[in-house]
Order: sequence, then C-alpha cells, then structure tokens
Amino acid sequence: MEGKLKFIIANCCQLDPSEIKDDARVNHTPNWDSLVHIDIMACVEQEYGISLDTRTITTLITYKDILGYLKDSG
Amino acid sequence: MKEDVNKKLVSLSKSSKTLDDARIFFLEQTEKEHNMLLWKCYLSNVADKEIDFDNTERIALMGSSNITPLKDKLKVIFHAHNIDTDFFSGEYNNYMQELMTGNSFKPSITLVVLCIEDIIPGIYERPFSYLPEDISRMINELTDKIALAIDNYLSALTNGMLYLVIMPSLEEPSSYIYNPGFSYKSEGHFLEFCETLSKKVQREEKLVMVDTRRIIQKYPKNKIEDKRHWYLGRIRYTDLFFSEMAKEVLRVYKILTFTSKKCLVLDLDNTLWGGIIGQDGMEGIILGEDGLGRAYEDFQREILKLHEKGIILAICSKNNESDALEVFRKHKGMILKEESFVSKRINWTDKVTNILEISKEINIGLDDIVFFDDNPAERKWVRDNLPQVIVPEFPEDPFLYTEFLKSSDWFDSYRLNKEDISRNTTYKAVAKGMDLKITSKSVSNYLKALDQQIILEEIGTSALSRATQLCQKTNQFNLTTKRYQLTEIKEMTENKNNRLYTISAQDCFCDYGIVGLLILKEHESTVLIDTFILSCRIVGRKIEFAVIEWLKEMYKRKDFHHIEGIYEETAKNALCKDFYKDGGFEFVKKDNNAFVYLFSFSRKDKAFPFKKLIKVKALAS
Repeated sequence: MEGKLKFIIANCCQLDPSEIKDDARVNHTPNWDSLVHIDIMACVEQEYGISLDTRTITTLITYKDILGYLKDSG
Repeated sequence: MKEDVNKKLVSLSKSSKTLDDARIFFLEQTEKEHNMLLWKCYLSNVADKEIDFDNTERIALMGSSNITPLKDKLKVIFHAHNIDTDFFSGEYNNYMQELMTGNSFKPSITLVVLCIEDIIPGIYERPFSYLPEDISRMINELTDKIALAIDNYLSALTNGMLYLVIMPSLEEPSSYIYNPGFSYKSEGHFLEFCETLSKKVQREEKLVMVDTRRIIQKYPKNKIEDKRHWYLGRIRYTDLFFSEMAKEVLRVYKILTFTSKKCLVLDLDNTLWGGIIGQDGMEGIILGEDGLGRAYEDFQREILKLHEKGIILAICSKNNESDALEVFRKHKGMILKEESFVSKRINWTDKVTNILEISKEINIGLDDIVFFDDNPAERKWVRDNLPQVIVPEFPEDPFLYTEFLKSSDWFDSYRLNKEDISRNTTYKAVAKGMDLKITSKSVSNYLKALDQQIILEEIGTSALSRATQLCQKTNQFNLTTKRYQLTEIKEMTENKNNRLYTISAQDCFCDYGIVGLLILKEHESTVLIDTFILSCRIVGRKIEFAVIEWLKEMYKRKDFHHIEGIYEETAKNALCKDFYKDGGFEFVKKDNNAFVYLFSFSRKDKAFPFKKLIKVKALAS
C-alpha cells in the first residue's frame, strides 16, 4: 500500500516515487499545492474505489494521514 | 489491474526506443476506459520527452472558471498525437481583460472556455426575478461585449485561431417548475447565447466553436461536475470531463489541420445487409423491417448522410454482379441506390486490386479511402497490402454499426461547403469521363467530347474560404504546397503586385465549381507562379496546360520577359513533377527540394495542341 500511494503522489506531483518521503505533505513537497491535492485525492478515490467527503479531502494533507486513513478504512 | 497498466506505461517511458510504444499504449488504454492516474503517469514520465513531432502549437488558455487541469490534459493528448505544445495560462475569470489587451505570447491556438453559469450568473442565482425578455436582453448585451472583445483579439492575432468552448449549465435554474416547456429552461438560454454570439463575431474565419454537448450527452451529470472541486478550487468539471474536452479540442484541431477522407469503399454481404446474396437470395438476406434488418437499414441511412455531405461511395464486393445489383434494384429495404456509388467493383478479383482500380478510376489517392468490410481476413489483406487505406476494425454486432460510423472522425469537416455537396456529382462525371477516355480513340477526341470550359476569376471575399480549403487540403496537383491561411490569402489580395485567381471548370457532364487556385506575384518584368493548385478530380484533362497557355498570352500582352515556375517536391505531389517541363519551361536550378523553371518570351514556344478544345475565360472580381 505504501509503494502504491507514493506512486500516486509522485505522478500527481510530477516527481519520481523515490522523492516522496514519509514526511511528504501539502505545501511542503514540491508541486503538492492545493490544486494538485485535489488531483491526488481524486486519484486515491479512483485507485482504491472509495469516495471522500469534502472535509476528509481538506484534512488528509500528509502522506501519513492518507496512509492512515486507507489502512483504517481497510 | 489498473496499477499494472500505469506501471507498464512508466516502464515504457524509460527508454527512448519504446517512447512510441508508450504513446500508442496510452491511446489504446484511454480508448478503453478513463484512468486518471494513467494521464498523470503520461504527464509525469512521457510528455516532457522529445519525440519526432509533426507540429508545434502555442496554446493560450482563458476561462470563466478555473480550467488549470485542461492545460495538462491538452499537453498529454497532443503529445500522444505527435504534437508538441507550449502554453500560456490566463488568470481565471479574467478572459475579458485578456481578450481586450491581446496576447504577446503569439498563440497559434487560443482556447477560451466560458461557462454560461459564470457569465450570466443572474439567470441561475435568481431565475424568478427576471422576465423572459429581461434574460434575452442580458444575453444580447453580454454577447455584444464578448463579440467585441473577440474581434478585438482576433484583429491583433496575425496567425492562429480562437477555439471557443461555451459550456451549458448543468443546473436547471427553474428546477421548481415541472413543465418542460417553461421559458426559463436552461438549454434555451445556452442555444440563444451561442447563436447570438456566433452571428455577432465579424472575424468568423478565425473563430471555431467547440461543441461540448457531444460529451455532455455521453455521461451522467455526476461524471461531469464535482461540487467538491468547485467549492475547493473553483474547478467546475471532473478529471474525466477535462480529458474528454481535451480530446474534443484535438478533434477540432485535426479537422482544421488535416485532410479528411474523401471516399468510403463498402463491402456488401454482411456489411450493407445480413447474409450472403449469392447463397441466401433476395428473400433470405436480412434487410429492412424490424429486428436486425432494421439495423442494416439504419446503417445504410447513416452512409447516405455521408454521401449527401459529399463523401464518395464505392463498392468492393466478391459477388456475381447481377445478383448484387438486383438487391439494389428490387429490395425494398435498400436505402442506398445504385446511383449513390461512383464506382463499383463487384467481381471475384481480390480486393486489393479492386481498391487500386477504384482509386485510379475516380482519381483519388489511396490515403483518401476508408474501407469497410465485416470479414477480418479481407480487412487484413487490404491493410497489409495497402497501408495507406484506413481499414477500421468493425464491431462484431451489426446493431453497433451505425454508432460506430457516427463516432468516427474520418469524414469530419467544420462546415459544409457548396463544393462538398456537389462533389459526388463531379466524381461521377470524372468516372464517366474515364469511360469516355477509354472509348475515345485519341486524347483530342476525348477532350472534344468533354467540351471543357475554364473560368479564372480574381478572388473576391466570397471565394476566400474555398481558396483556403484548396491550399490546406490539396496534395497531388500542388506545385509549391504552401498552406496559406485565409487571412494570408486576403492580405495577398491587397497587394497590387499580386494576382490571385480561382479556377472553375465545367464540362459536358456538370459544373465542378471552384477546383483550383492560381497565385501570381509580379516583380518588374517577371511573374512568379507562387501557387498553382488543381483538385485531383479534374487533373488529367489538360486543364493545367490551358491555364499556362492563357498565362503566357496575358503576360506577353503585358510585355513581360519571363514567367518563373517552381516545383517544390513533397511526398505527395509527384503528379506535377514534370508539369513545367511539359509546359515549355526551361529548368534553371535546384534549391533543396525546389526545382526552379523559367519561361522566356524571347524563345520560340511550341504550340499547345489542344488550344481550341478547352475554352478559357477570365473574369475580374
């Protein structure tokens, strides 16, 4: 799951997956701004077949947050 | 599964040798289903790589809402089609300002995306506080302003087109009123807006309207709009919709840039009707009435539309000719008639030979042909031997034939020209002309029987669009292949040293309309033939030589010393390679692909043998 999530974030930020460290987050990791964040969330929805509400989209702002959410929701 | 697809694309992008495979793989996958991450992977791994681009386009984007995602989508889809792009992105909802101040980026494509809900918000916010005439007045005032801004922008744009996307609202402003005929309904505002605006823009030759309703009809509302993205980023549309919009822009771009196909060659058994006429007989074939027969009938109806739009139809079928023709003559379910087909090859000869003959008979290139056949073996045989012919994979279920044809883009054009509609008549005349050629003993008897007349007319405003079309689309008899845009032609007409003529032709069969273009540039005592184009449907009837003879006479009278002609070699214009030599010109030199010829009035010229057989008339504009 970790590798796949990094692959998604990396391709949305136009980076190599190796550049996505565990502390990656919005407005910190290169290119991960608020618009790219919407894309990352849409890709996560598509790849994991889930639907996120607006509040969740605005609170899952780090790699670890997203990973935690995905693990919790199975 | 999707994960594998994404990873495969990334791995194909790693080596320059497999970049083409990456492009093709991406396009195949995108056809199958929308995969947002695959687009992202392409953008991140492929779209910045240099490939052997066919074109580069500079694209300026302006929008009434946030259309940032569209930029990446366009970059990806154009790259995947071998076109490099550079971008300028405007601020969102700043389009009026940007149109009024022009663009120093010098875009070749300016894409303006306006959502009706953004530009006339009142209708949607407070629908019941306006009377219908108030709304009409608002639309009228706003279209005045936008048309003015567009005209202002286009007059400063030397080279390039403005693509305008007007998005209807997906909201129903008067959703509390049940009656569908109620005058506040959203679709009505949208159509009124589009129609009023397109009538008001003066420089319409540089304006193209992109029709997004084609996409909207394909998907449910929640696949097109995402309210979360609207509230979080002022982005109205989904990733899927931006992808589809980029594809639609590419489709329009292709229509404007590349030649569409001219001829549809059709198989008969199991293509135009179900079953095999030679075995099943008139009673046994499936055609007309209800069920599957109706699907074949509808497919024929769709083909008839193409015929009436000016696409040439031909038959290539393995059958006894008399069996097949009987269906055309007697079967009540037949929509297409024998006369709809310009050329017929109903015999037992192989289809490659037959298609080659068809292309010769109606004088079109193999790359102008699309071939439909239900039989995979025949398709493969034609595809392997005539790679220039488009041979699409056919749907297996005949119920899908009509949809398949409708969604294709081989025969697209932006508008309908008079010449397009009459094209079938003229090609039929060409085919008849061929018969005449075979039966006439000599060329001069043939020409005499044809009774041709050519009219050269100085270009006025009404012929500009046809002249541009000829410049853009003619490949074979095109001596210099200069792809002039409409504005460039117009500018040339304003210089008094230039003479621009359209060439129209008639013969005993029909009036062909404008079939050629001649651009002459006078400089001191020499006249240069800058452009000489003839549509391939009338080449081979000595018209080109009659034009040259007329030119010689005119400039002799004007006391000029030389006529200069250039043959610029391309992959497609070998047909006119020796034209100047045959026309009595002397070869002077070769610069790269350009062969320069000169005709001197001081030298004795051999007489043109068919002078009396082709009448030439010149008209001033």
